[in-house]
Amino acid sequence: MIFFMRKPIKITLYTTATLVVTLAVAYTILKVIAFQKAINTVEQYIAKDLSKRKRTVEWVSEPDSSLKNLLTDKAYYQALITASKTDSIFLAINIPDSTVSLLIKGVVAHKAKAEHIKVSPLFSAINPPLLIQGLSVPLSITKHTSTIPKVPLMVKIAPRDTSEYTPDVIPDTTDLDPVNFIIELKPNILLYFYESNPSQSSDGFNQFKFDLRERTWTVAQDVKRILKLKAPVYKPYIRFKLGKKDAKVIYRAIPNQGQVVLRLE
Amino acid sequence: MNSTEGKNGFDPEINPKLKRLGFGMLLINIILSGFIILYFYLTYLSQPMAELVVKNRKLTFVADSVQDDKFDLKKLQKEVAALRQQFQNLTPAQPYIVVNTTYNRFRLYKNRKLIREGFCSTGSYTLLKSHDKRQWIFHTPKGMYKVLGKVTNPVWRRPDWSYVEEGLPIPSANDPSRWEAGVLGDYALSIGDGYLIHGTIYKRFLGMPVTHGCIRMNDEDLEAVYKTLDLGSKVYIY
Repeated sequence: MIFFMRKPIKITLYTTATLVVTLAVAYTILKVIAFQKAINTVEQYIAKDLSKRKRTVEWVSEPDSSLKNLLTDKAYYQALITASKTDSIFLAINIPDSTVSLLIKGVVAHKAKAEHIKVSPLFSAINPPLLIQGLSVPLSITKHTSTIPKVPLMVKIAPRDTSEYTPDVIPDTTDLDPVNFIIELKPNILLYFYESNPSQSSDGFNQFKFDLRERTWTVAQDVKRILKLKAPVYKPYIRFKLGKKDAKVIYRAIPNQGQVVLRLE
Repeated sequence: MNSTEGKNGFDPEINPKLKRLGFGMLLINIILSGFIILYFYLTYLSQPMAELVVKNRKLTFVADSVQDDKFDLKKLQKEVAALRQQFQNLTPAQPYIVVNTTYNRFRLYKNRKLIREGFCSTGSYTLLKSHDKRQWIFHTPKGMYKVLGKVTNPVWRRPDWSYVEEGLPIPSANDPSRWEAGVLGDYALSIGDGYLIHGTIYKRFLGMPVTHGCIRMNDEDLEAVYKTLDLGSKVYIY
């Protein structure tokens, strides 16, 4: 009897393990293909944008760090100046300084220090001359999702007469909501902003839920594409951990169709 | 003990059924565990694994011109210095004020240096709906504005929403009851579209989003702002 019971268990165990490993390996291989495809997509996007702006890419075959820094500086200031010409508030991200700043017409309105930054390796796989030139213009925001409302609107129906009138209650300014948000930029770049050191355990759990939901959604989209016999999509990303207040200020201030200036090195 | 029960206390007739049930549960558990492992691999590990595989990609540089010996480093340095200066010049040397509407704080600058900071009150983001289908949103606009006017001892002209909000009948446009002195403090600075930086009698609300769009300050801060900012001074609101 025991022998009889063990065999189906073994079969189930082996089948499940084989299936899990096969699916995991297949998905990883497809993700590798997606990664390679994403490099080409980003490079083509930059090249197309450069030809549109009639800019050329200057480079040396073996650049030293000082030359690379100068070219990066040039691109960064070009992007800042271009973004400052618009009326809207924009975000400037400086990875070497670990700073995220809100600027209005070139004036730094708010500066936050990121406590942790993780940059997708895709950025270092892109041709440096193209990447530097690609970041010499601000990147446009295409989408955003968050755990707090962008506009904290409260609807109030006017009283019909003075008897219905009740004075406004003091607004609740306690920061109970966890602040986590994701901004998507052209071409398919994701910026994740997560609250660092969640003050309450529920904030930590909410952050995990928000992150897991985002990851699940990405996998679901990939599976959909695979079922349609298409390769999954790899989106380059930068993950930040910011103080709660800074994260809230940045999310509330940055316009829906705003711009982001990025300095990676 | 009942005569139909086995040694372990179970009915020997039911025992095989229980075993089959337990066996089935075990199989389901194995399959479920496998898929949970797969789910966490796909969501958390598949991307880093793919990144590891392609991390050491050999780069082939793409450039319109490769200038090994001729690259003019000095020219590039000058260009960068000029761009940096151009960017730095965007911050006014004249006094300006920065207002944070999320946390209701202000910072006053002179000669590009912070000279004062404190609490203020900005728009409450209330959407007021009247019974005659009119509506108002009480928010402080974001962006760059300029001081367009400065007045001392300002008098408030109550707009329609202020009557609607309290359930009062709206008087005619020029009705004398619309004018109220003393509620805006000693000074007011206009930044356009009816928005003002002014004082308040509701000082306990400073630091909170309670206004109808104007920026309220306490008396001392307002006086400093009024005396520091000139007509045309920039007001940055975010």
